[in-house]
Amino acid sequence: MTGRFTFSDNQKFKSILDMVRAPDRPVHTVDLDLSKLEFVDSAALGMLLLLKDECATRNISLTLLNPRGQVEKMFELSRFQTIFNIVD
Amino acid sequence: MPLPANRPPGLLRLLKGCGKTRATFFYIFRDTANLEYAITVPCRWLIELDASHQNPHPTSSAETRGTHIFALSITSRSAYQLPVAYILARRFNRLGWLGPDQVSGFESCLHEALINAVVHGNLEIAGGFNGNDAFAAFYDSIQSKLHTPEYGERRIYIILSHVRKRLYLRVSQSGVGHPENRQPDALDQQHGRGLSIIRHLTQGMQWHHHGRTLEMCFAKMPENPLVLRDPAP
Repeated sequence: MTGRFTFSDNQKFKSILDMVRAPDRPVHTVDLDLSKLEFVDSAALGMLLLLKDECATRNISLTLLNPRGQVEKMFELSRFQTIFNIVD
Repeated sequence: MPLPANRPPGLLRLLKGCGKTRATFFYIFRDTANLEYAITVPCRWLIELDASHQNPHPTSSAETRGTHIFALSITSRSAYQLPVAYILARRFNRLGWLGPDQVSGFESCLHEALINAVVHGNLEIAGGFNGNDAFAAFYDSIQSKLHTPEYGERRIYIILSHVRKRLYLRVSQSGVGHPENRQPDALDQQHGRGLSIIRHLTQGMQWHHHGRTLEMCFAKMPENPLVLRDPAP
């Protein structure tokens, strides 16, 4: 993921959800590289929680990689380290 | 009467008698295509015309505290679709009003306040989403209402003022007010996190006008506590 991930990116996020759900191409792990993501808002955090629930339902491992700057700060405020597997 | 097709992106108007010590310039523009340019205009007051070519005064719905240094009046559609918070946070930094380490926090707070004002206030869409089905329905509802003039052209006002060592940022809407005594939701919920983020990133937040105005308080740039450069031309 790169740039900004905000409220208005719900369609792009839906495409990630669709990939996770695709029955013809089963997914076992999802690693999101966030090192080039510059900004997230509260809606984006909500979408990540939605993805986590979707992955948990399908027994898929989800990892958030290398959050930086404002993204890391928002994860801290939202206590995401207690909810997600976050790897630096 | 329709505006001429070859008009400039905006009109700089001098309204006599609006300023106490100096003339006040209003920059009036139309539609979202010109907003990104308009926000860069060195003017204290920026007003977007709506489809009926009305240009409501940016402070008509909300008195502010201290000295006004910036005001923007835009439609809900523009506030939702354009990176207003991104542009303004960097503009205020360039003007010396925000320190470099304050920019991302200020941007986050303004962004959250704008989305909250547009979606829950002017578009009158309650709550958020829990689960995938509700997720799709929630965003469909936003798109639908944004393109309905009754909702999409409701005003959003952004007003920045300062008192001594503090900056006050007010975001006002003209729809449904937020319950003033409601506590911010938990940060680990799928929705309702925006106000909690604002509470953590500001020196204080307060509701006014029956929940239609959210006021957020920030420290003025610490290295330059007393001087505010004036953006007026």
